[in-house]
Amino acid sequence: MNIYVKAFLITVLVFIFGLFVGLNIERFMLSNLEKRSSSVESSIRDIELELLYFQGLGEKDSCTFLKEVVRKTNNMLDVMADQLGSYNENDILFTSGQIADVKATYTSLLIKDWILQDRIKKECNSTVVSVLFFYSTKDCDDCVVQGDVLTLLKDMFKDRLMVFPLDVDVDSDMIGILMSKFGVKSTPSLVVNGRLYSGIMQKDRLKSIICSELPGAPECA
Amino acid sequence: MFYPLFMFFVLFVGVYMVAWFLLAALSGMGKLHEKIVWNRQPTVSILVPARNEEKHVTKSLGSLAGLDYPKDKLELIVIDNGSTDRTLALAKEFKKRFLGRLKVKTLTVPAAGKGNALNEGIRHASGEIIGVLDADTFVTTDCLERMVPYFKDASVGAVTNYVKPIRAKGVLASLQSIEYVFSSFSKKILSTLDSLYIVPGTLSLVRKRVLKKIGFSSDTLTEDMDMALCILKSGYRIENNMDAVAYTSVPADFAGLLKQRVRWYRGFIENVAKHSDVLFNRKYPHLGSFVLPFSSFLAIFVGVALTFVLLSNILDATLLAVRRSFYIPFAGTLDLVAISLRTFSLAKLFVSPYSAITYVLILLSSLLAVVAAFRLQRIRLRSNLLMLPLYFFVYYTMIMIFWAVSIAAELVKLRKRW
Repeated sequence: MNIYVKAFLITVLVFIFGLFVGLNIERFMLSNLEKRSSSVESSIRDIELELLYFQGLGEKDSCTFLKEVVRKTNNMLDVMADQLGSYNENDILFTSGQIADVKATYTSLLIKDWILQDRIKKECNSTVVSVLFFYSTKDCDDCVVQGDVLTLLKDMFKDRLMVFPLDVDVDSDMIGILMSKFGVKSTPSLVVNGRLYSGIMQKDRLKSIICSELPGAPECA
Repeated sequence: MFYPLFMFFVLFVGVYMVAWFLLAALSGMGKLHEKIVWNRQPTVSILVPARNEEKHVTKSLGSLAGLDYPKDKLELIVIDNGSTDRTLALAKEFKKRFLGRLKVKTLTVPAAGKGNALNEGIRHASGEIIGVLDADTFVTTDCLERMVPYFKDASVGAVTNYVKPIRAKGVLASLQSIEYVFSSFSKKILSTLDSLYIVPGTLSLVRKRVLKKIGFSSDTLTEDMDMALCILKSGYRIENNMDAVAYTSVPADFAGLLKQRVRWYRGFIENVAKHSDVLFNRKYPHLGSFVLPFSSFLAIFVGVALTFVLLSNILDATLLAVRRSFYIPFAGTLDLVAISLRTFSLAKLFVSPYSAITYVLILLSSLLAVVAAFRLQRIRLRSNLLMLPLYFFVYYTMIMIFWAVSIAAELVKLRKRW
């Protein structure tokens, strides 16, 4: 019967080792996310600072600087969104609380970015379409398809289309405020330059809506 | 919450079984190449049940003629089990060719299950020891002289040997030869712990006294496992000799393999159900408390779970692709494929560190078990090295699906009965 006890001990050791490796991988993934989060935060502070400075000076040249910082920030936010989007709450054993915090921070940063971009649009008279994409990770296959539609359109319009994906299940007051302001009641919902479109939107229809906001865009010919 | 806990438990059982196997193998090392000596040579009758085996029967009978055992103590009984080809004719030719040199009997039995054919053969057998050889298997010359001496011990009821597949060309054949290196080795290990639960028809020897009491039955699909469990329940032991080699023909194509495995795995389930009194029974220390219950658990749950995960992933991806086609028309096939691949496959499996660790652990433990089987038998791995990844990633998965099919088939059979 000794074989049984020995085998049990070996198995327990293997499991402890596995959990140890898992814990370290989780910690590593979390610290990556937190680093990225700080970069985005400082980037957004840069935007705020520049806006403040140029507003004071009343110069219109600021727009080129601002657009560059905005582009950089959006790229970072996209990467963060990818990393966060792939997390499944059930599979994280040790760091789920911290991941949730990063998700909340990310959401706040995203919304801040959207507000700042709106202000820059007005300041610089630029025609950029902002799309708030309200989605849920629970039982929403339409959300996945809508995400893919948006990805395709982003590739098409590049810098002229900004997508802000907002997870409605994240613990954030601001999401609630935005949802009640725009009247968002279900997922997926899109708010394109301030107008609400509920339910999943087909690619061509969404494209024509975007085009109506971007007169003279080459993709809309 | 249920799903990860369940996977955790399945993984625990899997790793535990590998650890147990390695410890059992190490403890049985001394017996691997044992050679028993006996000054007596009892009479042996070898039953050769055959059903439409005209392709192989002459070769297998020929190998029996080549056995290094006193010919006056050897008797061959060919049982034609309702063949519609030249099997019987070829057997009679063989008998004529060896007339005066070897005792050969030929019987004809109407096709009604292998068990019946064998029982009829036992009735005509005069030997003290009875062997069973399927007509698609041939033996090496020293088989009997290595196997018979085990009967020196009165508590031994049956002796089995080491099975290898007949060398054939093709990927499937190489994969099966890896599989047999492992399974034939584990049969030896199981025998050292009185847990060998099959007496396969590759020239297994059974004491006639024991056979007359038990008799072969046809109520399960694998009468060789049924016989083994009955022998163990009668209080006898089953031994195994790794140096007595028999070569059996293995299916060369997928359809043949599917058919063979579904019969084997259904037979396993039927026998565990038929002999359920063995489970967790103190009388059978290793077999009852561990080998049978845990093998059954792994086979059923890993097979079913894996197939379910695979199918649900495929189903999800297909449904998603269909929906996409409604909302993203004219996106071009490349776009659709790229996006689909992104959400399917790796993203689902390795998104969580634990899914990746689980997968790696399962693979590593299985790899360890197979490599140990090779190394402990001093068989060279190098020629099979390229096949090993294919074996683990493809063949294993296929076997698991076969298990799921077998379980489904058995459940269907149960519903029909009610």
